[in-house]
Amino acid sequence: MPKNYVSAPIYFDNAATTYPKPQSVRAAAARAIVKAGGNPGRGGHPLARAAGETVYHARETAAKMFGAEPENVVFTQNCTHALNLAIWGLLHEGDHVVISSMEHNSVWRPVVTMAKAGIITYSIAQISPDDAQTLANFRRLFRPNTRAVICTLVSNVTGQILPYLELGQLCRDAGIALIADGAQGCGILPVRLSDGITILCTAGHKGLYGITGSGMLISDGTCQLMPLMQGGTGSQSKSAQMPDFLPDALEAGTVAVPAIAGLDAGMRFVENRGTASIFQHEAAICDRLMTGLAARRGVKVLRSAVGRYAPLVSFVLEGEEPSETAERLANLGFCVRAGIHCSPLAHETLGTATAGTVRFSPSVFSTVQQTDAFLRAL
Amino acid sequence: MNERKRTQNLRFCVDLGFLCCRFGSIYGNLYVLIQMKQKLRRIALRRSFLFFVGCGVNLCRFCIDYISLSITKGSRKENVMETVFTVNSETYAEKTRRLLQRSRIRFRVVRTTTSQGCTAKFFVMGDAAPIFSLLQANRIPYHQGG
Repeated sequence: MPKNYVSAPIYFDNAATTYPKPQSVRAAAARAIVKAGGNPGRGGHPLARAAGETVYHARETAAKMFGAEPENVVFTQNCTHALNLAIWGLLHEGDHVVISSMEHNSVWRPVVTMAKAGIITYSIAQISPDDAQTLANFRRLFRPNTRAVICTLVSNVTGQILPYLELGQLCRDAGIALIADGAQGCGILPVRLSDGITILCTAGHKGLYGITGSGMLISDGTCQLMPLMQGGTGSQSKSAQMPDFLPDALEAGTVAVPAIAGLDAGMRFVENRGTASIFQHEAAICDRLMTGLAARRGVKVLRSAVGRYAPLVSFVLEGEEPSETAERLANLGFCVRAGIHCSPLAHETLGTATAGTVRFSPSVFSTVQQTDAFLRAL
Repeated sequence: MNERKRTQNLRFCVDLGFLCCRFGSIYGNLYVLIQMKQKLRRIALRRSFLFFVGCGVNLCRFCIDYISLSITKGSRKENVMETVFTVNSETYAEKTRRLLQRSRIRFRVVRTTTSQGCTAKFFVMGDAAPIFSLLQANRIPYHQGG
């Protein structure tokens, strides 16, 4: 433990993973270990059945929340896993894909890997604080063989909310699939598949307040995804091929039942609070921080006056590397993230690729008092 | 009117009576609590008869349920058709179970692991056509029979 560490850590790294988790989430995960300890779909005994019911209940909760069918909800380890399933499963040889310039490595790396292997080609649409400009940049890159657009709902670096509703409409009109990265957007935005999203990929342990090891791929059921992994599904066991129906086609191996139970409780927690209410609370925290930062000299906040932003603030202190700021704050008991946040593409767009930024991301449990303490420490 | 229809009508009447008495018993209990607070125990006890009526009806309901179940079971072979189908996926099996429950359809399910993997065998009381159309409407892959 650091020397100057005097009290419990004050956590502002919720864009990485939310902490603390709601009591209901912790209880649900613990209960699943005890009461639903079997392997879902791998037996007819009570514990396997209980596990199956637990998992299906979570599918129903997710389906209700995002406007999908329960069987089109695929549980994954995290958002990166879900995005890889979507990208490798949907794109075929000769396809072209458009990604935004704010994408996380979980999108950029698989796309570049597929392009290097000669399977696909890709273009990068520049994101502007002006939504109309952003949409024009996407439209300009569409080709006859464009199979999909991959776009994050909210930038994990700046918190900018991308115009996904308009982009969904644009893709629908052009007959192009929209793969949305909802890692930062789900839980604070009222995201629905009816927004024009073909495949929604999200983490369970961020804005949905589940535990780590949980994520989801939610499909609208209009496209067939080739399985990235092959293995046991508990169904069609005699066949050498993976089943061709969801969720079994993409859920090879045993799913993480306690993590899924926790995610289920987390989604219900978010639904009970309401995404708008959570957004409002966290935005108030960010506003307080930005007011405090504005009173200081030598602080650069990565926000534009015209863009729409989710409750997340990236900043740089003049004369201090972001990693030094984060280390200094960690020694005082404050948890923030520094660096390029696994999004080199976004930092190239923002001109902060050398050292990155300090990222402040509150949760529904963050308080004004903690923010004031953070400002004092800064 | 066949045996099943008669049983259903009987159950409906009993359910209605049960509900009325359940509300009566709640009212009676509340009344008792209020009166006891006011230390008028004699009146309170006199008025609490609704509670006992509720309990009695509850007991009768269980008896009727038991009898009707026996009748239904007995007449199953003669009058009511049993539809059997299997679902070879845990997710779809669970979806089917919940769908049948929500639709208030009587069924039982046997889950096993066979060479096909997870298998849920459903035994549903009723004609096959409406049940299968319900499954098809909900995009549930099933196999007719065992």
